[in-house]
Amino acid sequence: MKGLLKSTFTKKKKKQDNKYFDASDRMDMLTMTEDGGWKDLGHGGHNESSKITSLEPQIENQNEESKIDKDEELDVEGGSDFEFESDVEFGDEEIDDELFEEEYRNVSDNSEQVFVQQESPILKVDDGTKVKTSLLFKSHTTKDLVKQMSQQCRNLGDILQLDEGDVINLLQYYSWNSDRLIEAYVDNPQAVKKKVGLASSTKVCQHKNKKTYKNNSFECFLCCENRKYTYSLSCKHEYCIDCYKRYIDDRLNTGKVITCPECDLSLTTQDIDAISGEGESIKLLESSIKEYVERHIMYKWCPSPDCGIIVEVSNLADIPHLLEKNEIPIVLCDHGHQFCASCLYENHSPATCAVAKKWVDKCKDDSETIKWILTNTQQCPKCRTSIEKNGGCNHMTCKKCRQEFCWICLGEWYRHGTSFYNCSRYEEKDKNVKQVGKKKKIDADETRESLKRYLHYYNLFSVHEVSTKLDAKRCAQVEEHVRLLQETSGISWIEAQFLVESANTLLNARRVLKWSYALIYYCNITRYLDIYESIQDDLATAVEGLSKLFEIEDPEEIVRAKLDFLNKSRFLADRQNAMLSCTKDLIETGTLPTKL
Amino acid sequence: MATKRLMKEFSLIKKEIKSNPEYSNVIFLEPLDNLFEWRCILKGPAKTPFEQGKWELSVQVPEQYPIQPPKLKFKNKICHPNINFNTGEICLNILNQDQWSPAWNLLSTAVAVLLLLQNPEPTSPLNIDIANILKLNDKMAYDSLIRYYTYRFGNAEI
Repeated sequence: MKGLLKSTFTKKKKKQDNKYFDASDRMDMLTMTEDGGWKDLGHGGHNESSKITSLEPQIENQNEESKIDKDEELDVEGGSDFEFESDVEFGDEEIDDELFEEEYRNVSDNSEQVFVQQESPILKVDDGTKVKTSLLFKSHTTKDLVKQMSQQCRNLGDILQLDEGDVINLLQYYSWNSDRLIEAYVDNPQAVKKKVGLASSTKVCQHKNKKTYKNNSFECFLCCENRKYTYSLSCKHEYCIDCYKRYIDDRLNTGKVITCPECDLSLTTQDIDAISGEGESIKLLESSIKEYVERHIMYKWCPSPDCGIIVEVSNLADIPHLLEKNEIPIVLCDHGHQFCASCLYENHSPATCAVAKKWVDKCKDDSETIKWILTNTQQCPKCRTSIEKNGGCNHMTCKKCRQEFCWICLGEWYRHGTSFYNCSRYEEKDKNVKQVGKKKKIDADETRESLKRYLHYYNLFSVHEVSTKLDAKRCAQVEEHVRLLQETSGISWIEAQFLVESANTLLNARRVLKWSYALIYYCNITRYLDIYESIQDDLATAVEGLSKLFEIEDPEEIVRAKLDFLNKSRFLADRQNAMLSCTKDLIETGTLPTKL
Repeated sequence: MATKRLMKEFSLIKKEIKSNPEYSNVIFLEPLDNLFEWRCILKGPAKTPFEQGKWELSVQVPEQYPIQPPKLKFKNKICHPNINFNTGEICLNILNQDQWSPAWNLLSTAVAVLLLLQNPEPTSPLNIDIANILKLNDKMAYDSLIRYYTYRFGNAEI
């Protein structure tokens, strides 16, 4: 057993059982540990007392890298070296509160807020992994932004001496570029008003918009029916109120100025409210959000499907500096989605922005057919039945011939279980090309080899992408199962939280693994690559291990497997962090040159 | 809503086509078996290479008409920068949701298509080849090519 004793906490505390496990022994060790200790460690302690978290021994060991993690007892040092600190007794609350407060005030303050304000804060992601970021950012919902927009309109209205409704129209016309609007408006207010279609003298014209006709005597030009209620702007183009409403409804979501059907006079928010009912005009603002966000580069849409959160990055100017240092400007939206503020993909660490961009572009080029064949079906290595993957785990069992195999390499599974997980490694074929000046053939071979290499990594990448989706689905199902179980038997909400956390760990780790394949494709083949690949293999093993657990469907069995879940997700989080820091080291020291 | 309006338009169209010289190039505009599918025949405007040609258009009227624009398509082939040679699709701003106004009607839309024949817009082409010729300002090639296609395909019958 190896491991670093970095705790000096024992000075304050009488006795602490610190157990350290070697990474390679770990899986066996963990399952051997007694139930109680682990339960307490992982999640019982999670909210019994927040002070428990203070137990992490960190007093003298205050190097910058080991940031204190509020909720997690576990800390992973860079590289593949693992320490496990466990079995700190949680009941013991006599640890100096003062000390705790001094040491942890910043952290706890910070973790409550969405707005990250420290110099180099650590983003807390709910699965216990850490994301370093030096961006200052804040999440907005579309509603927040609408408020902000109408505030801006009011302010601008004060400056330009206009109604709020008029300003909205003006801004819509100028694509929410207020500078351009002010410039043009100051230059020639009448021309701008005319262009946008504002009534040039609203105050003088006391035109009555709404009219009521007796005996339905008004014949609407649009629907040709006889109507009672009508509406018209100061241009006196009059239509029945139903047609007007339909007309507006149809255009509200375009984000553009709505004009009178017959001329260029624009409808203000007041008109829209009067026609379609109070509060309808807010939709006009909502539909403008897209343009507003595009216009203001500090706002970034969260790229996750159907998320709809807008993240405001306040120190946008720092992003280029981060990119220079090969760091990824990651932000976190309120729904917990991490994404890169520079390329607006999901968090693509360990791959750098340049790598991610190249990879995505490359993948786009390839035909959909290859993609589909690679991602969706494989043939059973024994009976050749086409198999579509229906679960996240790569351990497949053919329904027809019961052959157990690995989805990635199609090899028999038992080889993976006992020994090394090395099917994600790319074996370079021995090229027995005769040296006799057949350069052409070598070239052709190289092209083929490079294509094969690409397909190999692309295959891995997409396998994990598909698996991520399936995992997400499965995790959601499992959570549902447990919710049912909570209702029937008396398991508390807290106790079931381990599932949510494990699921998050799994999804994050899979994402890291996925992008690591993209990165490795762009790496030169050196001996350092072997180290990298072995770490990658470890991560892949850990991912499959946890993913396998999520295949359990029986809720009671899930609860019984809680310990397993905890162990494996902890292990996985470690491996993931190891992967990330290892990549970072390699890139920084230039030992992993990327061919870009 | 649309039905009554279309009925009214139909009765108006009958009168207008005969009497108003503005609509002389709209030879035929009548609904087929229901009011939501119309058939239109346009004559190439004089003093353009489309002169003498006759084209049939299908007019699909959506349920939400006149809030939403009708869909027009050429049935027989026409060579024009803004009309797809194979599908007959027309690139005309007022046929888009954004630019369409309920104040337009089927007859005025047909006239708009005729105006497009007279005033092609080579910057947003659907037929790139003829648009390039127009961009290069090769009037002779443009005219003669269109005249050929008009002679070849522009022969719709009522």
